[in-house]
Amino acid sequence: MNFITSGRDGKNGNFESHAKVKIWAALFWVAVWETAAFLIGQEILLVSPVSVFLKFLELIVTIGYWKSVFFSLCRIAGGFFFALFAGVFFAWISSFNRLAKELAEPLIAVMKASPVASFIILILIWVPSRNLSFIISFLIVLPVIYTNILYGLENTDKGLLEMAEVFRISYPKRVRYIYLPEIAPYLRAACSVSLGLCWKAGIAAEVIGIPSGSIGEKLYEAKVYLETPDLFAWTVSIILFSICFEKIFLFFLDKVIEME
Amino acid sequence: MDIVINCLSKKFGEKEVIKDFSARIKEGSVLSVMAPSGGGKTTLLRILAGLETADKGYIKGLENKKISMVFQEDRLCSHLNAIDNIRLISGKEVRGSSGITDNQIYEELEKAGLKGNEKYPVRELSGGMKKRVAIVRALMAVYDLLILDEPFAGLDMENKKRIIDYVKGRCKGKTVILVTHDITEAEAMGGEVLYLK
Repeated sequence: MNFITSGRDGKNGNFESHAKVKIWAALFWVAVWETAAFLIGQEILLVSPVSVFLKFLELIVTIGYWKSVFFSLCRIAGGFFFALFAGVFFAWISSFNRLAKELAEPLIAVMKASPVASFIILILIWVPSRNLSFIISFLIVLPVIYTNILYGLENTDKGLLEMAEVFRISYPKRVRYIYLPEIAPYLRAACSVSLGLCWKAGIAAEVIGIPSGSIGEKLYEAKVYLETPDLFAWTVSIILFSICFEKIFLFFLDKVIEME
Repeated sequence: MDIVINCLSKKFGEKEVIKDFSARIKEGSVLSVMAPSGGGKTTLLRILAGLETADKGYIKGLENKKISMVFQEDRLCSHLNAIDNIRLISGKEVRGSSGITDNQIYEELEKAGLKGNEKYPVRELSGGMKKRVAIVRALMAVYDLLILDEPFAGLDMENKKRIIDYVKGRCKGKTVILVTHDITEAEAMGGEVLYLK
């Protein structure tokens, strides 16, 4: 099994210098992109960043754009949150019930190893494409959350748990003061990774299932009609929404962790 | 009610750490247990605290008794300060606890020589300070039996004397079991001394 771990202070780091490096690097690659587009000279093969930006501006003032964003965001975020709660719940059950853990292990292993495309096609047989991205987002996030939370729970300081037992500390207090600080770094790292994954997998599912009114449908149409600027503009949108969703969620998660 | 330990045995794998151990601990008395390292002292305390089960024998007199304990390690929540660590075991929601005020906690910490260090996360305190917080925590809990597993180890002479006096003053009339390597600690606590072979 792979475990994602993170230091408690990992989120702070040297943010200022880190951000500077990011901007510098991003500008470099935009310049490379612009140069490549200029040299190729065919928008259908490689569109320039300026054209993408203009297309993006053109799209964001339309109602259809926001409807598609809302459609995909609700389902992908819904799948993520559902997987988050289910992952924590099942990890908690598995942490004290060996049978549950053994039952879950093959299922989680299959979910981790299976190609996303196989899941998408299989689920398309069972459910309408409308809710495909919700299920795919759920299936991608669940094993990551489950594995990390279970690892955190299993590595909770046994000495503190014994202390809580001797002093007859109530279960809610044990969760808040002993378990939560122990699993917080694992939960944060798992969420950080899964937030990116659920967008990638969710949009891929929409491109294959083509649910009406989704971002995936727009990407598919851009491909069919060879509208490369649209394809890039939608891709930029996905990246932006994915990053914003991750930052906002982790901001609130960090606040909750700090409060504890 | 006295605590009666009868023919207690405990094995870990092939190693028998306690063999047919019997003792009677009078209610309200102090019993110091001394033994060489690996002699089963901590195992005995863990069985009394309900953290291990004996393979053979039985203990009478522990039914419905509230236990408080100082472990060999401090076993404090490192991210919480001393006040919050003590509050953790003394809130109204802790089963069997009547609840204590912050002022009482401040007073007790001062008696243990921790004045001025109450608000730091305990991970920032020295080993000796953590040990004293753990001792104050155990003494502020509601208990009938106090179990002390080498509570004074790692304390300097000045603090050791202060803490022994503090513990003696706080647990008067309570049943106390102390495990120690140091005969002077056992003598200072008073009561009977039991040597395990």
